[in-house]
Amino acid sequence: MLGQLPNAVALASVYTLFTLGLTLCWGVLNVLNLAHGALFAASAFLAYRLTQVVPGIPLWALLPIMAVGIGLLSALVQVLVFAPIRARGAGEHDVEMRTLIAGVTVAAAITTVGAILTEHQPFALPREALEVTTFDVLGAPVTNVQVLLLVAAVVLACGLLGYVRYTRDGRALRAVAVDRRAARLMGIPVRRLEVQALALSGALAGVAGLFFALYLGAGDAHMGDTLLLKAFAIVILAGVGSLGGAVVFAFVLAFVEAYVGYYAGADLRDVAAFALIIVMLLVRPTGLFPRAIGQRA
Amino acid sequence: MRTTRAVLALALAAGLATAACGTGGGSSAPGGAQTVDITYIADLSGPAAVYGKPYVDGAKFQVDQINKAGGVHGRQLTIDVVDSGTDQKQAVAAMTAAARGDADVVMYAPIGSLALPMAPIAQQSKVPFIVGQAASKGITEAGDHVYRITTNDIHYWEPLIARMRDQNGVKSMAIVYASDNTSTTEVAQQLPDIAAKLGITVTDSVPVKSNDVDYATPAAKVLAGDPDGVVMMAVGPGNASMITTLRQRGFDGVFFGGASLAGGALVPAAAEAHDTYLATPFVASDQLPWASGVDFTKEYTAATGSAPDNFSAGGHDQVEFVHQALESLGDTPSDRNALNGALATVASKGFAGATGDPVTFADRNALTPGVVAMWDGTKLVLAPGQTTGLMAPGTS
Amino acid sequence: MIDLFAANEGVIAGALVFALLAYSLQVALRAGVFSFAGFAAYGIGAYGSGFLLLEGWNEVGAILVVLVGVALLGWLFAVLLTRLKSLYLAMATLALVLLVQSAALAAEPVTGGALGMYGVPPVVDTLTTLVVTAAVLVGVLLTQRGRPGRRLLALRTDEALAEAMGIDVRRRQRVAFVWSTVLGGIAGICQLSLVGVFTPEDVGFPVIVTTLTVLVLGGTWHWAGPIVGAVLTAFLPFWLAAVGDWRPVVEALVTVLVVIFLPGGLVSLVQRGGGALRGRGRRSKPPEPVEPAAVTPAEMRTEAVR
Repeated sequence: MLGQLPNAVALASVYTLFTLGLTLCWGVLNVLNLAHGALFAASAFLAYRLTQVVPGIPLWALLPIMAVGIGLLSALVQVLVFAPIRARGAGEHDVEMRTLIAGVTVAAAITTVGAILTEHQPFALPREALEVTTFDVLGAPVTNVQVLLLVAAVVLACGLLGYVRYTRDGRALRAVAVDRRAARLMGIPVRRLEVQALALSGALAGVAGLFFALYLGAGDAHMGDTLLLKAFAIVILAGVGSLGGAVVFAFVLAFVEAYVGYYAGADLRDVAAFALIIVMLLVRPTGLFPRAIGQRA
Repeated sequence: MRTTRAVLALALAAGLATAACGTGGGSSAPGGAQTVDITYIADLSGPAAVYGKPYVDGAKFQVDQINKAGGVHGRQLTIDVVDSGTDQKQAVAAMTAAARGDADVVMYAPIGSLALPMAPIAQQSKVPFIVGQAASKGITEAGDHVYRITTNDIHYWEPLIARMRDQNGVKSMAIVYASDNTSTTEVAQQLPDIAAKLGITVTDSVPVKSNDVDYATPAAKVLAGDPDGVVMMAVGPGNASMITTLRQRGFDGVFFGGASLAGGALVPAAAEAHDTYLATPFVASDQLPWASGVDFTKEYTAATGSAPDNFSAGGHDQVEFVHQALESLGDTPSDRNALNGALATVASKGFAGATGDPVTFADRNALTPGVVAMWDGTKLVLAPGQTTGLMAPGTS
Repeated sequence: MIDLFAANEGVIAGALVFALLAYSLQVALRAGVFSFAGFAAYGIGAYGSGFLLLEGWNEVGAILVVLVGVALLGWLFAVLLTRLKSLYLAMATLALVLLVQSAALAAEPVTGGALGMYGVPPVVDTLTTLVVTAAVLVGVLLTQRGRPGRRLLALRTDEALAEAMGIDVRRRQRVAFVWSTVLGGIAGICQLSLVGVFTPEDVGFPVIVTTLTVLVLGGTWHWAGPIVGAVLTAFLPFWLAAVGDWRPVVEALVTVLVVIFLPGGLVSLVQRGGGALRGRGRRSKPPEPVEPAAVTPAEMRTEAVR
């Protein structure tokens, strides 16, 4: 029972890292960025290619490079795709639908490029990037990657929360999320903030994608696909754009999955997860942490 | 703005026009000389591309070899490759088009659930259909026009596990399998009986999903049973993930499996995949127990600059099967009907292929001896001490 | 023409099933219901009809029982779920679809597990599916005009207004929800018959994504959108075969361009072109309002709570 605890916490950390960026996007854009999973994978396969070009490059050097690289990629998607869609939108539902499709489509393009770059083969970050060590906690094996995941999740979650709550830009972002038009009238540079939010969420994906690849040990260009659906569920269940809610629900889902998965297998694990999502939505139709307007993010 | 839209509209109209012309007919031989037209439908994009590509490479290689040697009785082979994108609808559509078109023979590799709906279409149109890999029930059952090349690895499991027991001291094993994959699920269901027959304890049977995000939990389950060996039948990167995760948690036993460990599956696990064995119809080696396999290894390496794998060997044998049928036809016109009759004749006698000599058939499914390959840290090599194949010829 | 049909039958069959699925989605969307329940019905319809036919039921009986069953399930889901709004409903119904998928994988004796269900005697051919799709198209066209059309427009643009106009919003939305599941069920029966195999992979996120793409490419709110989008999506891979490895990237590019520059989908292109051909240089009648101009995020929030 206790032996599964580190694994559940590690899985929860993966979910948290993934949903942080997704929630930030949603809070600002009012839509789900379905390209987020592909950005995760992009961080992993681009880093892998980089280690082939520059052998022996350590993890601490890869982290900032991928944060900047994927951040730029994400900002580019906002400027080239999401922003033009909103500019031509005929209403909130319409923008929502078209942004969903555009996100999925961008994801497909990124995944294909990744598959070509990796020759459709599974890959792994070289062992030199981070020496994996295992030690005992309460009689259960724990790897340093699992610990790193948890630390990254806690640090980045706190950092993001601090940014959104206490910085000038963060408060402005929340204003945009509540009412774009009013925010613009107040003189808030809405477009710049949107690009900034997407870049930030991309940078998060860049960092988290690397940890995720190390945690899995191996991946391929499709490695973000499964995470995306889980994260979609977490973000929705948490409540609109609620960062705290997302973290809580990442842990709930991860613990349910880790324990059901251990005792009943992967097939029933997925049945249980989806059943849980439906029941949760029936009980709390607006998510776990529905907030009053203006308190979002 | 108006111009952008007009351009888009024009582009679209042009596309429609091309489609109307393009998807209708097949190819006819230039200059009147008769050709034998192969349509090769394969997954060249999407998740199965990693297996589809080498199949096509192997088939193309053999078509080139045959044509360079002057063709068969004056006839050249043509090969038209269609990408099915690991998508069932596209595969079925391509099959329908090929069956209604001019293709003399249609080939496909490698996914069972894609081949399954294609087979009845081939049977209805009476076009010979030669499938590579695709190890699932119900494909060749579609009828006498459907053949399957490369042995279903279910045949190899009993001799493989016996070898693991005798040479690697495996007395207990856990089974890790992808529960959303046809072939691995089928094998996983039969393994407990095989293990019982060989006196081996199955400690646990652990399902994982393709592209799963958590391998620590299944690894913990495997370790709880403390097995000597682990049967590894995940899909794609899942194999390397699972192996790495288990090694990091101190597992020091052997891994063994079948087709899912071939190709580049073990590359990411690198040194951690030490002591990993797999049963396969073919592995590049100059020590293979059948000479035709050694020849294929040499010729393919010389022609392409890289060593063949079991998938390119399968693609080679799909074409070689047709080649032998055409040889037996002699100067008789090779329409679909005649070709299918000739394939049946060749199948009853067997032929020398990359995966065996002879490649024999049971109910139109290829049966070859198979060998054990092992991971040397960077590539698959023939495991030592094999003077015969895994299966004695003629057994199943 | 007949030759062209014969040579492309496989592609056409695939396109028709996606057109039916897109109609299933559109029928719900047009009533302001963002529901993927039609895809759950798609799986239930395929597996259900396959199960009954393998048990030796006759064709008509099996189809009727499955469709009535799907409709009843649809009603049950509608009562339970239509109080959820927008993406919340989408998430709940997506979970429903994935639940059907997981259950299909787990229930191996009935569904064939990962291998899928096969060997079921076909009950419809491509031509029948074409007729069914045409009938659905006519049905959608009829509800888009006149009174029912205005009613639907009110439903998806402003529920409060619709209610004030005396429209029973909840009942209308439930009816749309049920029709959506019935259409999904029909698509499932056709898919199993036309392809001969139905696997858990057929009921998953990729199918939903493709259908959404079909709808957005064709024209989300237009009766002809699903057909146009389905034909384009089905043939695009063949037209782009020359691009090889990079095909998915080019497909993505085409889709993104349409999504950005043609909010009304390809249908709007034809409408415009038609206007120009008639030599008027402007539209003969004002375009149907695509969507209300401004629903503020704040209003979205209150929607979510209802």
